[in-house]
Amino acid sequence: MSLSGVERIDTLRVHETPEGVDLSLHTAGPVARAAALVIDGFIKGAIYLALIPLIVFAGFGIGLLLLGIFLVEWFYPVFFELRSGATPGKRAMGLAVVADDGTPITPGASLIRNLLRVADFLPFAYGAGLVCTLVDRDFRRLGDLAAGTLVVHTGPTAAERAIPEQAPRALPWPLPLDVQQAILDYAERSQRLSAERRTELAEALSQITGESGKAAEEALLGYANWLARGR
Amino acid sequence: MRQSQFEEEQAAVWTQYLELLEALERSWSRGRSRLPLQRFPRLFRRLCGDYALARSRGYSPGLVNELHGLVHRGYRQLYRSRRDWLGGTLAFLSSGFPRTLRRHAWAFWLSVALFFGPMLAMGFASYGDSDAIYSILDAGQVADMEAMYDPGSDKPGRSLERQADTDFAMFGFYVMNNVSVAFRTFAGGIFLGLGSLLFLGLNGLVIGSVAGHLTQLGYGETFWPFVSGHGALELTAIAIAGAAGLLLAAALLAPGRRRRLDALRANAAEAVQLVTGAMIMLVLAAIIEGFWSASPVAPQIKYFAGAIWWLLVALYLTLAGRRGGSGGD
Amino acid sequence: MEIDRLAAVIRPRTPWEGLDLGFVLARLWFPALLGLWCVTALPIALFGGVLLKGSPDLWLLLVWWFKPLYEAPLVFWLSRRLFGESLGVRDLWRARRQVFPLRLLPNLLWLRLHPSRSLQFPILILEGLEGKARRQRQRVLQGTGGTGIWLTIICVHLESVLWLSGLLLVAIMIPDGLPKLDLSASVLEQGSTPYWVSTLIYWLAMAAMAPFYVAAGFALYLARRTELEAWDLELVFRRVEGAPRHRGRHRAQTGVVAMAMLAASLAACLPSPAQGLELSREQAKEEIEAVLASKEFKQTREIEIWVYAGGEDASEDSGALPDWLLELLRGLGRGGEMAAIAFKWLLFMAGGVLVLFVLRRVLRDLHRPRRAPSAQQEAPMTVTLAPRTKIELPADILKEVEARIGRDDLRGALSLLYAASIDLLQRRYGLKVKESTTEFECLALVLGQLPADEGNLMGRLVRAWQRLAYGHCDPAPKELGALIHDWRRWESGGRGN
Repeated sequence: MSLSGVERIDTLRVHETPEGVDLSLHTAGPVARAAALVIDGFIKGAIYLALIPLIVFAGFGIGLLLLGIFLVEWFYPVFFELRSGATPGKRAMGLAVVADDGTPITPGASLIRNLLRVADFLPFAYGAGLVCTLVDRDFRRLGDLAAGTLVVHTGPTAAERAIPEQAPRALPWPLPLDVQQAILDYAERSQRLSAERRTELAEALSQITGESGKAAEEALLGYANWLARGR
Repeated sequence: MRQSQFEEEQAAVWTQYLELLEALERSWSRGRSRLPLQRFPRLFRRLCGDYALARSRGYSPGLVNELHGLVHRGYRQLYRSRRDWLGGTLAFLSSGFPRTLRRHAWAFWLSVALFFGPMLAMGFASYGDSDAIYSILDAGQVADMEAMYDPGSDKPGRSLERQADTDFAMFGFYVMNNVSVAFRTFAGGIFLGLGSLLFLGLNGLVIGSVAGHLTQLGYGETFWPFVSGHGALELTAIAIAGAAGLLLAAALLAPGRRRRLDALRANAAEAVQLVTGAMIMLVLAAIIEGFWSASPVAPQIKYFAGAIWWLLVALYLTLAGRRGGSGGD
Repeated sequence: MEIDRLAAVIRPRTPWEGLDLGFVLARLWFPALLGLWCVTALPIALFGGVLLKGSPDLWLLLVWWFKPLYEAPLVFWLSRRLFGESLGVRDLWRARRQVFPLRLLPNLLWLRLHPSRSLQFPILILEGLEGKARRQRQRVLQGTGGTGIWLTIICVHLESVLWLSGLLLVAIMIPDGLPKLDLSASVLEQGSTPYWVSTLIYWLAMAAMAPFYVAAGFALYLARRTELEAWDLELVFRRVEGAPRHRGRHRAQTGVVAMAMLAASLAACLPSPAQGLELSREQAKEEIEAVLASKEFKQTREIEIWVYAGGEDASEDSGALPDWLLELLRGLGRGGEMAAIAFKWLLFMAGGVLVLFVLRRVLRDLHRPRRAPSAQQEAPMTVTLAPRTKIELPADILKEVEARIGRDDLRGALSLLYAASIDLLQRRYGLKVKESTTEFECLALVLGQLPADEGNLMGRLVRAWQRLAYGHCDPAPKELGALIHDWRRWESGGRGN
């Protein structure tokens, strides 16, 4: 929708695939990541609690307990990131870890970013990591910088995008492409807006439709039908 | 072309693509071998084309987003790395790891110097002066240490309270403790190497002072047989983890003709191999330390085994992977 | 304040993603936002400091209590900056009635603990609604997700993380000669110098976090409006000019000001009120305090707990435990003992097997000849590309080429043609072509040394071959025919095309 040619601020990171199309990755910021971290903290705590009964097996149990603590402490995120791209906490927040070209994370990268948690944790409770995410363009902490990874929003599942049926109506004159797309967008999203808002938005274009009220809404849907389906 | 016409024409391709995509996304699916998966790359390129068309023709944002989602999912499947875990690990251990270490021999030797230097210095200092150890450890720790290696105790290397623990508990403890030390030594490297420096030096000082002090006390006959078995693997692995940390530091301090970020990324990929190798060495060391080092075997045999281990580690790190093509990452 | 000068992309975002836009805005405009924050915050801090110099706690409470006052100008500034207009302090002073509206007052009094302050502020300051209408609107924008509340909770914690990190950093960084910062005093000893240092660091943490918090709330507000009201579409629609004949009349309308956009009266057209998560002040306070009190939010490291499991312990407690339980525990202990032995040998074996396998591989690798070129590296393509490898060129090349075309072996045909051309170039013109020479290097040689006609033919041939070899694009029959035709003339000594 840019007309002025100035690059607009967004939270996207665009990667061009070898096929020449642009993929956009929605990088995730400190708030969502902190929430995911807290959830993961609870889950880890629950695992530790579940491990404690092992001590009834005397020395053997303690050995297992220590191994378990070691594994959870260092490899909990690695395990889940390699398995499904996100720890349970991240998944609950709709986040995932990917390589910065959008491909699934590799074992090496996962290991780097999670071993460097130690560095991010310093001096206190992810202080270094927090400052790093606040400063970096793509919200990367130290571990992400070294591993070349991003934490991204996986995004909601695709919403309903049916364009409501309406008798097609030709555009009075060629409108700019972004306006055409906005009209189509309006048609697709109109069912999710309140009725009053639908009408009000449609009236914003009354200089084109020449209509007002319900008729303006119908006119816009008509344009959308004409744009999408033709006569 | 109108959007609806476009959608109708491509619908068949999209459905087929989606079917293959979903089969690929399921980690395990029975009918997978029956599907024409070799068509997937071609279909993926088709989808890329359709997505680009939909964008440039200004089709509705809903459609564009849907295609973007499909392309993105396919991209993740097509470009994901699939690896042979067992073969990869063996290739890594038999050639990749020692090769990587030799590639960064300077970091390894520097790390060795930073680790063994303080260790030897402190070792001789506390061998000569029975009070030197108190500059590193406090009295309680020293007393614990002394009790642990008292020749009167039947299982050396364990502090008194853990006398009842089985070997397995000790194994767990060694894995947790030593590997964590190695990981921290590595991660500390990102602070311009200061963290690695600190961990290497501190560990060197502590180990050296304990060794010197116990020998000076006359506890050497329990101490040295105990540590001889796993020393080769453990000490070398800590030095290797330090080298990994120094690699991170080198990327930040002397990135060469790369941006610091790029240098960091490249070096981190190498460093993580070193850390992985060090971790495996430490787990082996923990097995030895937990089950062998404290066993009532004659000291001569333990010394002999220790010498063999040093030889093996040295030969492994210098020779393994020198020839042959089985690289591995 | 043209809408074309919109500084950020407004598109439908989930609430969490909306927050992220705010963090990006705050990062980009950090100096301006921080400066603006200080304009109001510094005087109050200084004044309060003089007034309450004996008690850092009260000072901090005072400074903290007036946070809404410092944040209001940031919201106003952001709303203008979004449309490309950068306001100075003087502009804000001129618009002071809008920046500090009277309805801000409750937020300094009984609404100070509102859990989603930064989401409410844009509504409060930019939309000019009053009373019940505003409350309803706040509820609607808040939605059911409660992201605004989470934003506040998490930002409070991020603030403390910055504070404690800063405190520790200062404590570590103080050189040896100077007096050490007593950490326990800095948190516990009221009125001591370390306590003041710690309080000041907290103030700095507040200052650092404020732009992010305010901008995140503002961006969340935009995200909610985009989701509920398709505000992004409105931006586009309002920009559209009328029909060509109407343009003159509507020009004035295109310069709709940002404030009008932001404050478009919406009370009448609200979506059906969503179930707002409404908390009374007391509830909110309780909730905040409860959450603050819970340890989990302090994000501490896991502690290695040494659980003492010596035998003595069990015997001490034996009086309290029923016999069967003791028996069970002993049994489990014995079972553990056995499992430990089993595991011990298992580990030994696993370690041994690993070492042996690696050893075997290492030895095998060492016995291998040094980097023998494996058969795999020699792809069939390379054979045909490397011009001087011993390809047996048939006597009548074109006949063979056509035979291959007849067999539908286009790749073979073109590769033969290319190899034969290289051969011809070497024989006829003494061109030096090494085995490693690539097609383009060949072509460069040809173009440099031969007449343009040959160069032209060679160029077409190389392009056709590369398209086929690497791009898997078959040459068009017409093109192939022309190539063969020209090549025949070239070979027979005539000029190629």
